[in-house]
Amino acid sequence: MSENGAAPSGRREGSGSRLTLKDFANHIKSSWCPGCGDFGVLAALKQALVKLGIAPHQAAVISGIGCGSKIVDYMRVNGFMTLHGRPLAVATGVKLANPDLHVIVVNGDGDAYGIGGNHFLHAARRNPDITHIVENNQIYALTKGQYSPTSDRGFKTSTSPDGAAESPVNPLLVALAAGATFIARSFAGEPKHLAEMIAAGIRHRGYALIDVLQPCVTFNKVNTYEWYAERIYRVDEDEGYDPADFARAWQTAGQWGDRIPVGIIYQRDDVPPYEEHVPALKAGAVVHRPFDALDEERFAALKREFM
Amino acid sequence: MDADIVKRVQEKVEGLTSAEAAHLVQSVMQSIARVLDRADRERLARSLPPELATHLHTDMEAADPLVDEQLFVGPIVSRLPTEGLYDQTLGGLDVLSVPAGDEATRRLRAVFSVLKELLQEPEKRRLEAALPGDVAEWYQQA
Ligand SMILES: Cc1ncc(C[n+]2csc(CCOP(=O)(O)OP(=O)(O)O)c2C)c(N)n1
Ligand code: SF4
Ligand SMILES: [Mg+2]
Repeated sequence: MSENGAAPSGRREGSGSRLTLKDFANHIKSSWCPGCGDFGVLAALKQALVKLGIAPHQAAVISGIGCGSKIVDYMRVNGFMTLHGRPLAVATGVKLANPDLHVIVVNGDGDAYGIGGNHFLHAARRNPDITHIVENNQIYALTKGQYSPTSDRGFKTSTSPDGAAESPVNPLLVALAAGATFIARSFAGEPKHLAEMIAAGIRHRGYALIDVLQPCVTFNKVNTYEWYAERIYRVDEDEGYDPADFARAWQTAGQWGDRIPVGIIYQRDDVPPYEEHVPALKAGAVVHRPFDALDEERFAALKREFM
Repeated sequence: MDADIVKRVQEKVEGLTSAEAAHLVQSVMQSIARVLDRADRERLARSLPPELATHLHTDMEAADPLVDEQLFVGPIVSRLPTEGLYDQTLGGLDVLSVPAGDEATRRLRAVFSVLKELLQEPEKRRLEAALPGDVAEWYQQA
């Protein structure tokens, strides 16, 4: 077992052993509200990359639309802010084009589990080597506070004035049922633990979900730092907890309310990532194929094929 | 919470109810707990009245080095009103959310000032050294 309680995955790490947090800093001033949990996610993501020796040019951070998705603007790294709900689809394309990149998706709960729910299911099932960090603040924050797929029943917002009537999505259970090979949860208020979870997710070969409890200090006055801090407990503090035990993971992932589990809930290392099954990649990654092989004649033939 | 401590905070932050003041003190103590190692936490706790010291309790062994000024003030901002009325002269922002960050640091400084009244010089300096980024500056200003 590694220090995070995860089974070793054999994934190679980056080459930038002398990196510091400053290597990921840029000059863009954040527009997040003071005290927002997204600051914890940003700090933890940078820390995880530094710890793994992954340099800015070796990673690609792909996001959607939302407060949390702005993270791409606030760090020096390859980045792509896509459409609302679509970063997993774009990230899969990025990974297929250049499997050497460490591809990391960061998006909000609305983006990931609502409008992007379809991509979430299929990424979990396909198992591309992508780390998926979801800033789960249980609200649509950017659009000023509507209830989201993870809002608890009874949660009052402008679109649920009488309280949300439906049961929330449990992303961990959905991911487990869909076949995800790495499922973890952490809390933005404990960025050191979050950085460990992100690093373990990046090391994992395959789709890795890290659901982050992320306080939105402006629009969610229920699920606050205090609310989460009072409820979370670390699964790895239970010596008998084995993330490879599906039945135990299912039971643990189902917990919500008075006790909320954090840590690596589930992990299996015996499923090869999606990229390894793609016949078109057998000849090597697209980015490594020489441009000059595409002479004028072949280019014209290619155009005819697609037009 | 000790009534005297609550009263001192209320004197420094106009308009706070005693429950709000007590809660503010609790939030600040919990933020402090996250940036101190266990030994430092225990030493600080011994220098404070038990009602304050109790909020320093956490199971964490070591300080979290990634807790910065934003995460430090987060629990305070959570308690502030941030939804009032959108104002076009503020670019469509909410009139209450815009000053929330400044209000949070003002309240934080008030609690720091009470803490400084309670602590001896060496403890004061130790605490200042452990505070992250801008928080140390706010502490000095308090
Ligand atoms: C296709 C589309 N539908 C709706 C929107 C409006 N919209 C922007 S962000 C957002 C919700 C964001 O919530 P979440 O993903 O949880 O991110 P947060 O702001 O909470 O970090 C919505 C509905 C949009 N930009 N595009
Ligand atoms: S609205 Fe909420 S999620 Fe968005 S930046 Fe502000 S605190 Fe963060
Ligand atoms: Mg959200």
